[in-house]
Amino acid sequence: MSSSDEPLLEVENLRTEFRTDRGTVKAADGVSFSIERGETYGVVGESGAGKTVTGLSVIGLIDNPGQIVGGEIRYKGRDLRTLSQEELRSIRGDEIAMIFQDPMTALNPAYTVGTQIIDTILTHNDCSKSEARERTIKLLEDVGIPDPEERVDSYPHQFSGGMRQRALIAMALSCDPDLIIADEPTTALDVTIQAQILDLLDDLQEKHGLSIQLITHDMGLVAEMCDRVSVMYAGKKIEEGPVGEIFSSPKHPYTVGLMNAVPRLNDPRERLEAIPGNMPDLIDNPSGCSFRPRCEYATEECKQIEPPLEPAGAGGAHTSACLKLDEIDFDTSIVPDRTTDETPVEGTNFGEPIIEADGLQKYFDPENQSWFEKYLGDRDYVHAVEDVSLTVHRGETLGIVGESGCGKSTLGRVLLRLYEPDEGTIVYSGDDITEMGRSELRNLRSEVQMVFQDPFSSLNPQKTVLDIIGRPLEVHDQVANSEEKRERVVELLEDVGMSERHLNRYPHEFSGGQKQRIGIARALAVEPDFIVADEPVSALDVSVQAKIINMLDDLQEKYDLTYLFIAHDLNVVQHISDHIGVMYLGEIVEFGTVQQVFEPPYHPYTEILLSSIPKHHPDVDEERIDPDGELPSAIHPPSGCRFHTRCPQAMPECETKNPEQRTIDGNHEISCHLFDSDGNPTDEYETTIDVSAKSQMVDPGEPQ
Amino acid sequence: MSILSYAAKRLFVSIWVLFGASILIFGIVHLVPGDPARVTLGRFADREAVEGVRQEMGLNDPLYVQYSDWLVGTLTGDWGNSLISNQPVLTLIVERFPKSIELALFALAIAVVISLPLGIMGALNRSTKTDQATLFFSQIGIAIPNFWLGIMLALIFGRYLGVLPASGSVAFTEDPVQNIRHLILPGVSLGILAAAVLTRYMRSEMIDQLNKDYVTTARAFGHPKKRIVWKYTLKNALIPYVTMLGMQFGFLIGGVVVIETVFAYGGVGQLILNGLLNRDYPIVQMSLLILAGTFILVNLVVDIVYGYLNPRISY
Amino acid sequence: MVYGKIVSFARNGFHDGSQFHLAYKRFRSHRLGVIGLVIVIGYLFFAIAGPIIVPRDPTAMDSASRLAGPSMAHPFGTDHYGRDVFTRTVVGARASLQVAVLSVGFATIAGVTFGLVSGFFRGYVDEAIMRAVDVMLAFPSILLALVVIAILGPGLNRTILALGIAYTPLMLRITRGSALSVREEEYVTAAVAYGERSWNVMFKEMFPNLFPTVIVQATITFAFAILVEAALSYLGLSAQPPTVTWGIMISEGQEVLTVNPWMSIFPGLAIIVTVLGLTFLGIGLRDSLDAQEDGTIGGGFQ
Ligand SMILES: Nc1ncnc2c1ncn2[C@@H]1O[C@H](COP(=O)(O)OP(=O)(O)OP(=O)(O)O)[C@@H](O)[C@H]1O
Ligand code: SF4
Ligand code: SF4
Ligand SMILES: [Mg+2]
Repeated sequence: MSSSDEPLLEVENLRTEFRTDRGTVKAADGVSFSIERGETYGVVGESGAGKTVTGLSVIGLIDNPGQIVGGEIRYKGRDLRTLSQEELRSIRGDEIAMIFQDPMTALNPAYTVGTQIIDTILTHNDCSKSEARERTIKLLEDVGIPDPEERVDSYPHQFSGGMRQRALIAMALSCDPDLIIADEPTTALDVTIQAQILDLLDDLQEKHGLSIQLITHDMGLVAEMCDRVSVMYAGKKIEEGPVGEIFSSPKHPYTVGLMNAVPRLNDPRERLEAIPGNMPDLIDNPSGCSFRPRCEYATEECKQIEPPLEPAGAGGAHTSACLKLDEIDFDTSIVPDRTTDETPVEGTNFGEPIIEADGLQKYFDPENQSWFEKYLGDRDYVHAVEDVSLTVHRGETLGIVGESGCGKSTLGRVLLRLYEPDEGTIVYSGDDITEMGRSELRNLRSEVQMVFQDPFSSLNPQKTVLDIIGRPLEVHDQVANSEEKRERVVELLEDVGMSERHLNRYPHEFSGGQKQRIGIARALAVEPDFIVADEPVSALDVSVQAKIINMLDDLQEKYDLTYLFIAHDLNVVQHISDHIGVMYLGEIVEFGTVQQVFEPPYHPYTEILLSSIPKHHPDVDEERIDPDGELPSAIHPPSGCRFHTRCPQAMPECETKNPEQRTIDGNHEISCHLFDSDGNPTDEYETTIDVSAKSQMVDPGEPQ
Repeated sequence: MSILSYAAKRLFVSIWVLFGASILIFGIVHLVPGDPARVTLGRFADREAVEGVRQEMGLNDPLYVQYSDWLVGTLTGDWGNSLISNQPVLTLIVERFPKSIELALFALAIAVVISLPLGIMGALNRSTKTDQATLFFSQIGIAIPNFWLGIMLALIFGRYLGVLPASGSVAFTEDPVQNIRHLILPGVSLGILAAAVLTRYMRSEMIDQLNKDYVTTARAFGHPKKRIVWKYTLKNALIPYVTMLGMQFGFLIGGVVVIETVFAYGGVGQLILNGLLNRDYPIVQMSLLILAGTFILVNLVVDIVYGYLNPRISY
Repeated sequence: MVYGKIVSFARNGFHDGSQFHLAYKRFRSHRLGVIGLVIVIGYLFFAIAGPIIVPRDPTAMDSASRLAGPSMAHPFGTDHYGRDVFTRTVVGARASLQVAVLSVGFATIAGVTFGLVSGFFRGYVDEAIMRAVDVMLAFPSILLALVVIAILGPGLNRTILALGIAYTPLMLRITRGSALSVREEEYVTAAVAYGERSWNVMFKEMFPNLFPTVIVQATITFAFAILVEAALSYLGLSAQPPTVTWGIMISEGQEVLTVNPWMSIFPGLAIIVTVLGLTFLGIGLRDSLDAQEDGTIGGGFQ
């Protein structure tokens, strides 16, 4: 019945809707695609584009209030929509497996990892329990879990995030499926772990001849992994084609915008290209082309006609849903992205130091330590920040990067004395912050400010925009009456690209990007000199992210601000920073200008971080170095060099001796035994990666 | 670390709490307005006797000495005598305490037998008639005052129908059948509230669990519904349920004071009430202490069971 | 989960106006909540205006008709002195209201204040407060109330204090729990970062966000206070005759139960209806304010 040249999965005109009080959410609105055997098919788009719903629809996991209202889903020629629940169930897991975004919650906390995989095997196979267990151990080994015989009896909470995702992959493989739907499989993980997981998926695909549907928001992942990709926007597929073609000659204004919005390593651009506006809410899609409100090429015609998918390149494999396909000159709209020799201008002469921190330490109590353990017996600490010294100069941006849990946020908050440091001094413009009394501290609060990560949590839901932005002004007596307050708040709103009509609205009425703007306006209200921005863009979609980054740049210039910019995304940090500090487990292991940090010699950890970033074009070939394992616990950090448990170049002395900070040249500093006291690399030092290859892009005009 | 050291830690907490509770109870006599000796002896004692007791109670010693004396006495079984009947408090309590515990346990059993199936059924049939009936039961169960329910049950089953005894109690060792018969009415009146609360709790925990990501995973891997409900979610829902069970047991212990009065059951509860009405402080203090101690003990057991059930607990 | 997100978005969407405006709109269409509100308003009306509007004196004795069942003249019947049970039931609402309002008010104010302080400052302050709470929670609330009564002796005012103290650790723990999670919200850190005074952070930034939780719990605690007051006055530990309370009426009725069960039935029904009204209201408030709940309505409040 199924011939081998027919696609494995064919989805045609899928329409999935959610009935809600406010109207019908059309989460998937006429989506069609097909996946060939052995192929990796990417689905890319911003949050809310309908990617996950499409994936869930395929395996029939849509239930109340959702419903698949139309379309066909043919798997090996059988329409899955006509199957009974029982038949469908036998396909799930056995022939089509799904991996979810958040490995932390996707496993059952009350059963061992082994039990869950064994159950899956027993569901679909006729075998004994001990056979299933054998097979499970084998699978765990295949996905790279150390000591699988023991780990099979571990509970999910005893696994780190990366290991849980590995376990889920093992579960997905357990019944030899033909298709794996992976829904943002690495989004919740750090870049170094992401790199490991991607490698694993790649290997397994080859070994088992799998087809993979990779759902992601990250163009980099698509470049790295996929053969073909479709771009989704507002519940519709708007472009599809072979990955190479999509990257070198995208044919839809949205795809182009998406690619231009991403900051890249060695990006010569002063500013990122942002797409204006937000994705429409899926309830009242505008008529005609749904991208129209944000499209610079939109005309009256786009309002009338819903653009059909049409061939956009030779061969017909590349299609795009844009009416102006033939009129727009896409080549010139792509930002040229060749690595140039002139790296971004790096001002080396900034003003006097504004913040000088010396020997900062911050310890926390571990979460699960009870009160009497604290006072009786051995008290444990989370060593969140361990002996950090740094200087920030007026007018510059210092970027801090590192994996989740390395202590970046804690450092930022300690610098503002939002956490009391346990040790060390912080001098702000000549005054020691750590010595300040209550009222001095309060005065300081009008000079240093903070911008937060999570737009949903950073604004008080009970207050209007006027009160949110206006309150700091009142606290510092910077306005005399409500009239003045209002005027000043309007000014601030205009500074961040919003307007007076937003004054009396509540936070929940705004999109993520707008909320972030309000948060920035609040930080600016008291006219501070120094702002700690803790991952200000990491919760935002790329197109919005670009806008916020540009705005932060503009504001810095306008108000002569100094930033401490915390992020886990190296691309973003390098775009905005002058200096960069690389943090690992509470310590700054490398410090220098952007150029110094991004060029050899590297600290081994920096090197790994750099090599883990997904590439930005499918044609780039490069080595990736994977560190061993994951970030160790900050409660009992490794002895000697804290990185030695994962460092590919670790030497015996690294286990016992804490490396001293070496000055390489100028103010480029690295703490690693591979450098001698003069800052020269020793004979053991070797570097394998060349970052410039990362962003190298084939000439856009060159035919593929 | 092992479950043993986890248990040891919980034990430590319990001892701390018990220590605090004993101070509070010791304090009762001293906080009552007036001279503790007179308070202890009652209103009508003569001056000499009061002076004697002052000496005996060591009221002239510093408070901490008095407390440690009292504590030592308590631990060694020297619980003093009732001011009214002059019987040793220890004897009175030892005689009645098992009865009260039996009643509370019986009520708890009723609550579990009702709440588990009802809660699960409600959750599985969410927003259907079954679910609404479940919710209705739990609503009504919470709103009915237990003593009033007791009175009504006694009236109906004891007086009108005459099928069950409406008051008193019989020791299990004496006559097991009569013992159970005497337990039914007070047990039900006491247990309904706990049943209602636990039903709601089980239902909402179960619904919570059914909405978890791991259920989606299980479904995506084709696990049969039966396994998802009865194995995967049930265990997760039972973990918090057990904690709630411990709390409810505490409230049942509090409830016996009321219910024993309704049914003239003759347990510690009634002892406390009479003590309070007669200002018989030794009785009140010791009865409260034993009930609080039981509650603390039960919570300790529950904590340990919880630690055993819940793999996430870090010992 | 996808569904959770989509459904909650559909519920909350980009609507206009404040959270309370939205809550009001939701409450209006919450049938159970509205029924509860109507019952509670009726209860408040009888409790406040009852003694003025009832046709008879609750202590007036009609020797011609003692222990009578319901009739036109005495819709709820009469008691052993020939007093009108209907009148007494209406008047009895007052004592329960008095106890519940004052004790829950006390517990709420004390619990919220300490809970906020505990949740805001955390660390040693929290440590100290919570260790004391641990001890208080070693007593089921009715036993804790008995401890207080043991010290102060029986009486209506003392019951108020006893219940107030008994419910404080529960309100405190719930407030602290939500306060701790609200404390983690970035807007609270933001307020600290722009120099807001601690007291303002607690009451202006945090409290409005705890309010839903507090109001729901207070409503439910109110219901339990009514139940426990009834139990205490039934036991003779609360108000003493001639004050009329539902508990006393049930207790008096119990003595003549076989002759005239109505004497106990009606005050009991009054309690049930009132408590039902309050729990319905609590559920309505919870659903429309999206409040957190301590697992189950009233789970820990008996
Ligand atoms: N208030 C706190 N109490 C206890 N431990 C804490 C606290 N804040 C942070 N930690 C711990 O300190 C360590 C560093 O945390 P921090 O939040 O600074 O990391 P981060 O680099 O900002 O991570 P992320 O990228 O996830 O934001 C972690 O182990 C974290 O669990
Ligand atoms: S159809 Fe019109 S609006 Fe839509 S993408 Fe093309 S040019 Fe823009
Ligand atoms: S000191 Fe040793 S372990 Fe640490 S980074 Fe350098 S080589 Fe690696
Ligand atoms: Mg952080």
